[in-house]
Amino acid sequence: MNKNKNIMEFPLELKSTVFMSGGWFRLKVEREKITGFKIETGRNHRGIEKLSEDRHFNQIAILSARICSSCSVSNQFAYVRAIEELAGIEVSSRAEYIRTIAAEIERIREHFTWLGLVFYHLKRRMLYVFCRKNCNFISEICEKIFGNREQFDVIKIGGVRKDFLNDKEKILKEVAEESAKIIHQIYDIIRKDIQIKTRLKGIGVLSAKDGIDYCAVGPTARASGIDIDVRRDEPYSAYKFVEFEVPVGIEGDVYSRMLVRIAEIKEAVSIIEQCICKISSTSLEISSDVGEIPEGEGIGRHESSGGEVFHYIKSYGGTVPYRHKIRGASYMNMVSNEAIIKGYSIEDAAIILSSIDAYCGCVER
Amino acid sequence: MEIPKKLKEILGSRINKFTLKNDKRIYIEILARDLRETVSILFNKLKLRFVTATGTDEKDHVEIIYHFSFDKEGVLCSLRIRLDRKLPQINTISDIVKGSIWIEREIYEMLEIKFIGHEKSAPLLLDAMSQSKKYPLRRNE
Repeated sequence: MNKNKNIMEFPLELKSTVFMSGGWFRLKVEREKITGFKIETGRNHRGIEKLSEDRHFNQIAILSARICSSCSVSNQFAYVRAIEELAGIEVSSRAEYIRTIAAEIERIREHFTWLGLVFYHLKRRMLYVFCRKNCNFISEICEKIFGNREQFDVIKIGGVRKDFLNDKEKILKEVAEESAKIIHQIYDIIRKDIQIKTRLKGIGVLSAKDGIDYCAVGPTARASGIDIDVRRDEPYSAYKFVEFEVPVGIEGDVYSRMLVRIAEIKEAVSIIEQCICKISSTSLEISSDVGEIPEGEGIGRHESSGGEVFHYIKSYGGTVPYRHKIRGASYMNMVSNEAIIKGYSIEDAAIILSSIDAYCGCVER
Repeated sequence: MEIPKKLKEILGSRINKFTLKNDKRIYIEILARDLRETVSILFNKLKLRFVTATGTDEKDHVEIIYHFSFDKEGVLCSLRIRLDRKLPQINTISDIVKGSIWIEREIYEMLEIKFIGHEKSAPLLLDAMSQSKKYPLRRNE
């Protein structure tokens, strides 16, 4: 209890084995209103940047996938892009399509997980189960295609590990169709459900100005009207060959974030379908020769489900990097928590803090 | 090639070395004393987005690279600053770019680079209670 008897301080732990690596917060509350806020970091730091200093470049691709469970493909993607930029490695178009498909499947799964999390905090059990069921369905299909449910380990420097889509386009189409069907049903429910709308509208507002000041990324920024998306702004991989829209909101509240993510699932489904159509016309080559990594520096970016993932590599030749810098999407978004939580009621805290991807694994590395 | 020309024009004599690695990557070396002014121009005037900062312990100096993004054009502009390895310190940019609050704390605890004017000095990732004065990304630690 604070000196002022009306102010109370207490911890809030957003942790569930189902969802994420967790987030630890300390809230200062005065008459049910949040007046102060602190994020407790440091419980999930694994020193991955330091570990990279004595790992082979190829090993780091695997290590990068272990940074965060929610964006394992994204971190691997950004890392190999940094190396490929540094060494000037060209990647075959078939490999680019496979990479893009894996990244978009991950995006769909994570957006469903995010939706499930919001419904969970809203105590809407049926919708929560609905989202979780589709996450499980996607994981099962991923196991059939990539061999792993969560961490696909598809991407390697110069291409992909093997031709994962060999005759499996039909199974992949199932994921796209099922996800499109479910997201259509969820959107229909949300649109008609006044309770969800009134509960989520106007809470956790991140204004466009705050979003720019705190350098927010991904759906968090886009829901506030900040129109950024690395896939469109710096076209790479198969994103160069497909057409897609970048959904942008206006209000910047939790409801707006929800609508942006729902629209992004629809776009991801469309990207996967376009990739499946176009991949049949590519050559069967999936991996380029990777010689020695030369001296130099490279930057790789990828738009994950939470936002831009950034990897920087500096090499002085040899088999290990001199410096490997990693910045996950949550790193920038969690700083903006300060702006979106103050002034709201304590009962909204869990929903608001969950709505911007509180992935500590990504932040602390 | 409009962006490199624009940057050269607007930053003028603050540029020590200008490297155009490819169409999408620009590296600019500046002096530590010009940091705040340069960041203010990039962030407030040119409306670039701050991506992150990278601290590296080189053999004879330490360096910080501030990465900024021209989002519409998909171009990254990286400001490189070299600092004395024995007593590395630099002015904070956290009052200009709020998004840099955490990364400055992290660079301090990993590389012992002091940010003059930064409000919080508590570790972000390492144990705050630890008495050990080791900086993990320092090469001699």
